[in-house]
Amino acid sequence: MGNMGETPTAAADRFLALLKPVERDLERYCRRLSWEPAEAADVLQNAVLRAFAAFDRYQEDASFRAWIFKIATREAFAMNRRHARIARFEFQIEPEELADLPGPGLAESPEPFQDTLEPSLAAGLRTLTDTERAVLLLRAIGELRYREISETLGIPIGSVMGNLSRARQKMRARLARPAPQTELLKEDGS
Amino acid sequence: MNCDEFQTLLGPYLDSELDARTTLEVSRHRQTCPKCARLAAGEELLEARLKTALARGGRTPELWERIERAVVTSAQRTARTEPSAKVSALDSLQRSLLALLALFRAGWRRSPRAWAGLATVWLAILALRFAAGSADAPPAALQGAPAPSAIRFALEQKHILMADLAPAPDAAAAGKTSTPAPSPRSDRLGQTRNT
Repeated sequence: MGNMGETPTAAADRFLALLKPVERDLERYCRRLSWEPAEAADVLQNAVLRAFAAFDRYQEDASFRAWIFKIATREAFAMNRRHARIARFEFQIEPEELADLPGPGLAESPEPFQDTLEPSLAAGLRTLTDTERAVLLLRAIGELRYREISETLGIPIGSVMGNLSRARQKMRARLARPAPQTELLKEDGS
Repeated sequence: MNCDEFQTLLGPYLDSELDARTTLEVSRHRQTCPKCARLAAGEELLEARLKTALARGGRTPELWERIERAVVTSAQRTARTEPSAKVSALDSLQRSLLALLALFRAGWRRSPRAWAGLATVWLAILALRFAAGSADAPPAALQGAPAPSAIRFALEQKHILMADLAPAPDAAAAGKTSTPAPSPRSDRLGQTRNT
């Protein structure tokens, strides 16, 4: 791993230095993209370790942020597929039920991993397809360009724009409904 | 630009994905059309609130400490199992030389004459090559060895022989006329030999 002639330890130091500025956004992205919030920590850890294993293939002039978000996306999709989720959610998970759900990684991590997202936003995200959600989050959290999102998801730029537009429309519709309670967004868009 | 075009381009415009000229056109329409201006403001607000809401939840220190430890452990494991490329190349060269030396020793013990004969032949070949290359060497040094001209003649004969044995090119596929058959070797021998 790493450059030719570089020791594995030096490669690890270089990798961790590149990872530091994107850690926060990467964690939030994995948390929002995973269907099961309890598995988001596993998705994140698997993604980082997989990225390190493939670090010798990372080209220095490329965007590290886009590269690792791509790996995290694949890891999250694989985890989501493992639970055989379809694009529309089948049932809602109440916040208090989340604590009772068994998580394969949480047994090892005593730190809390609570979802701090506004309930209406969380519900809105669950109405999106996997692709729509990924595009929205890569733009909003990952701050990737359309071209980078296209490369990350392996879809044309036109599809990126289409998915993003639909995701925003759905989120707007979701947020406009409980406007009096959440005061997040009113009907007229203000 | 009309309102339909503006609404189509609004998303990429707010994401700064348009080229400079189109961005300017969209901006101008926004300034002149109140309806589109309100629409753009609403979209900007939605995007800002989405980003703020999604930005909640920071970095979990314990989780990242565990992940970073796993990366370092993985690197240390790799360092222990894989030697550096330079060390393994030297190691394999050393092993090859030792194997060659062992082979020579075994052969020498079995049949010293055979190995001496082989060494003599190699020395003779080296001497011939040296003689062929050194045109300024005094005649005394080349006594007993073939003359350079003789060696050159032998090489030319070899080339002629190779040309005779080479298959004729496929003239139909190349679109060229067929090459004439080579002249008999005896003619060429008379033409090329110069001593």
